[in-house]
Amino acid sequence: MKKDKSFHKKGFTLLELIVAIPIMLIVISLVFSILIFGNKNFKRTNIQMNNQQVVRLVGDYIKKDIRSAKIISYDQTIVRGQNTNSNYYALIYTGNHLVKQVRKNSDGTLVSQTTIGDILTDLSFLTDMNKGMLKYNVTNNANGQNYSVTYEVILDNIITVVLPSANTPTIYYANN
Amino acid sequence: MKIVSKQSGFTIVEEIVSLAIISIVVVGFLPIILGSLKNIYVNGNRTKNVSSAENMIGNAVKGNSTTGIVQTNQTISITLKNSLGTTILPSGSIQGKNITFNKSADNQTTLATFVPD
Repeated sequence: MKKDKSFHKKGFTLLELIVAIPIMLIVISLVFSILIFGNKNFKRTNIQMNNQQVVRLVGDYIKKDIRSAKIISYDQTIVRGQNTNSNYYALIYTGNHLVKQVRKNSDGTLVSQTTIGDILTDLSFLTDMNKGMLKYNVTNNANGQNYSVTYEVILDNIITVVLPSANTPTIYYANN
Repeated sequence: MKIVSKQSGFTIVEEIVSLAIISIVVVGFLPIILGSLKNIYVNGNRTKNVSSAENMIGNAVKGNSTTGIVQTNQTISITLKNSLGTTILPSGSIQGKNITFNKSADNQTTLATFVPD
């Protein structure tokens, strides 16, 4: 009597469980692997997007800013000597940021400075034998991914650029 | 035993078939996840290509180097008319160069400009 009663109880047999649990495990592992894969990809996409965005922002800023300059030099005394305006400008890569400074032409004192864009890995103005072009490289290698673009700007008002033999993180210019 | 066999549920064959269908659907969604990353890289390369095209065109305009650049002489003729169709300025022409950069790869970039002599 006792044995018969146990058959009427609701529940799973051992066989059902042995079959159902592996199937469930397969489904769960499939879902989780897709989830983890998607998440990893999302992070990588974000990192790369951010890298490119920072490089583009700084690269385009320099291009726009320096294009109409009339005097460009790595040496600020040259710029101050030729400048007829009251101010001259400096683009400096310092503390992993691009900083634009406005300086007084008379004594070189700092009038104001602004930080442009986000943290970069490297920014340098390159020596370029080409006439009337300013070449610079912007690099960002954040979070294990890198993105680097080399820009060359046509200088509308300048025939020759004076740059040192080694690459420089600082450049002085004036629009007069 | 009869009560047990009356229970409704899925058979093992149904389970396996449904699993297969689900996995096919899920795998079908993978390109969407991968696509965003790929597109970011493609766009990054596009920026680099446009930048290098600008560099080459710039050097050609400044007369430095013309490698990878096609230059063709071109004359543009201009006639200035008012809204009634009367000629205000007689036709004149501007002579210059068409400077074209064309890179035909999987990331095609074309840039052209006209520089008057």
